[in-house]
Amino acid sequence: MTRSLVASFTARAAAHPGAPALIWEDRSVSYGDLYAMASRARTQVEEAAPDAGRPVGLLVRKSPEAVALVLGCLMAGRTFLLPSHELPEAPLKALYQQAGCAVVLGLADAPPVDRVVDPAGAPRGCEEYPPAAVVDDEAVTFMLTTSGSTGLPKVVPLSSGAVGRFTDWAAETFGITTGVAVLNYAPLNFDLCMLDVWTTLAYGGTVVLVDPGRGASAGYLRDLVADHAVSVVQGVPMLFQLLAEATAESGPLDTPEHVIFAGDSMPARVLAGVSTTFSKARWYNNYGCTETNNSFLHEVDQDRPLRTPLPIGRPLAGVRWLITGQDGRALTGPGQGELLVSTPFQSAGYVNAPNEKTFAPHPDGAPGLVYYRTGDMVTLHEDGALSVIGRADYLVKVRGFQVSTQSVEQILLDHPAVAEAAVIALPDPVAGHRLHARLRLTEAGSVNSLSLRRHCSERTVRAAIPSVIEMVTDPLPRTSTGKVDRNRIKACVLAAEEGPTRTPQP
Amino acid sequence: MTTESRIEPKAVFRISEDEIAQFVVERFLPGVESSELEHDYDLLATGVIDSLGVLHIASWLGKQHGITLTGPELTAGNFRSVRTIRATAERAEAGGAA
Repeated sequence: MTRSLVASFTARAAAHPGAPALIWEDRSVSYGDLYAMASRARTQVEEAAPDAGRPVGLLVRKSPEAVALVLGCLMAGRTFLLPSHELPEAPLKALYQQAGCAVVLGLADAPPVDRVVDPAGAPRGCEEYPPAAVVDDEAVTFMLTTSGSTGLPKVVPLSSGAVGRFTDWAAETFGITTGVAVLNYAPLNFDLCMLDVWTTLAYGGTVVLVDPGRGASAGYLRDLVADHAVSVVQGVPMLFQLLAEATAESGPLDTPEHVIFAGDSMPARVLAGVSTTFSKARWYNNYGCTETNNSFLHEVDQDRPLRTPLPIGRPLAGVRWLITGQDGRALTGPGQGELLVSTPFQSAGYVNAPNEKTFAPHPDGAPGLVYYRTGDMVTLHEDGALSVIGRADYLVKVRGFQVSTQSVEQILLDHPAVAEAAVIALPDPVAGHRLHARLRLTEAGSVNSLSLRRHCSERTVRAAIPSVIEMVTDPLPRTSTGKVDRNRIKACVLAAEEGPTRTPQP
Repeated sequence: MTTESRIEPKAVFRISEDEIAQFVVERFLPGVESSELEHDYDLLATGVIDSLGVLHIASWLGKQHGITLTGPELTAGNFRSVRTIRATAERAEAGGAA
């Protein structure tokens, strides 16, 4: 049996109770204190949800108490749903209901929380706490949610074994152990926390928690890394962009040893900034998703010219994969298609969505093994390296050419004057689709669409050059998970185009 | 100080590059000023016009300026830039008059 996350954490707390587990707003929480808080939370979880067979819902913002509540659920052997606290009440309620939650627990009394848990409570002295409940490998612990760009997020259950195997891999790969500080940038409900929060706590490191409210402050982020001698930095491109800005003035950060690019593909401009942000770090491009966790990893060779998109590299130990072409069969050589993976960290399937097409064996795969369809189109190169073209959903035909609107966005973002870019495909009776780009420049008027067209024409096929390049000065709308809201932009562009045709023609 | 005047041995073709640039910008490049469009800017390579765009420009030359382009002249290469479009129109008019 894989040692569970909570068993590992408990062992660390017993061995080094004085070691710092969490850093939060200049306050340090030791392993002993966190263990005590988690144990108090556990008691309250068991009181509020006496039926161990039913999941509990959690609604928490990032804080040491929130971390303790999650650990408390693990100690109680409960399955728990951890959605984004930023979701509106109606979809939250629907998610808790679909996941079968008996009760919703939170740290503050706000709907839809049924019971408030207070892990800090009054210190009860040096009481003895019962050992964590033992759960088997197959038992579900975390239930995370997908980002839900369309409709209700999907609930992704992860087994105790899947989480334990992942933390083992992550700790070994990035050297996470006692005395190692790891930056946590993502909100607590994100899958990235499996690495930066939960692996760190299972292996005795220190989690430096970024306050999401100050997550856009470059100086704050730099100070966190520098003041707490952070060694491992994982985050989305925006984090690295902010750190690059902050260190442009103060000089590079010299404690980070491993920096991990996650969540989105790194734009060339952001990647170029990383070179001067860290003095000695190794760089990794991480490929994964909530459903399977990490499946591929690429260490960037910093001595060679940087090219984007970065390859996703090689499969992790125990990962099986294949690429399906247009006929649905596995490619046998270089080519393009959809990536299917099977990982030791994988979910068994969604709780609230159909799984037949997404989690299934494949006739060309290992017999009986369940593969997850990633929805990512990838290229398998001659040298065996893999790179992601974009989401299959974003592939459109323009005048017979297959174009990824995401890769066009990436090309536009590679221009130094472009701060934000959204490329949407609009139906076109002649071309099939035509592309409309909406951009915000770093400085209004610094470049015109003619220069951007030339920039595109040097990097891609003609069909991929947007037919309209529109510049706006307001930030682009974003979804609750921080991604550019292309659906909203598309609706807005379509409405604007339809406007004039409704007026009667002379 | 002497200003060098352009040597124009023949009559100047009546459609100016500026006029063509103005049309191209209005029709295909919303948000761009015609003064920003260089007259040798490659309209094809940068996706400003495609084969459908060629037809739009040909139709404008016909309606606005009475210049009829025939099949063989309607190749994309004859519409690569503002300068090329003007040359194509000029050739067509000379050909038609001959």
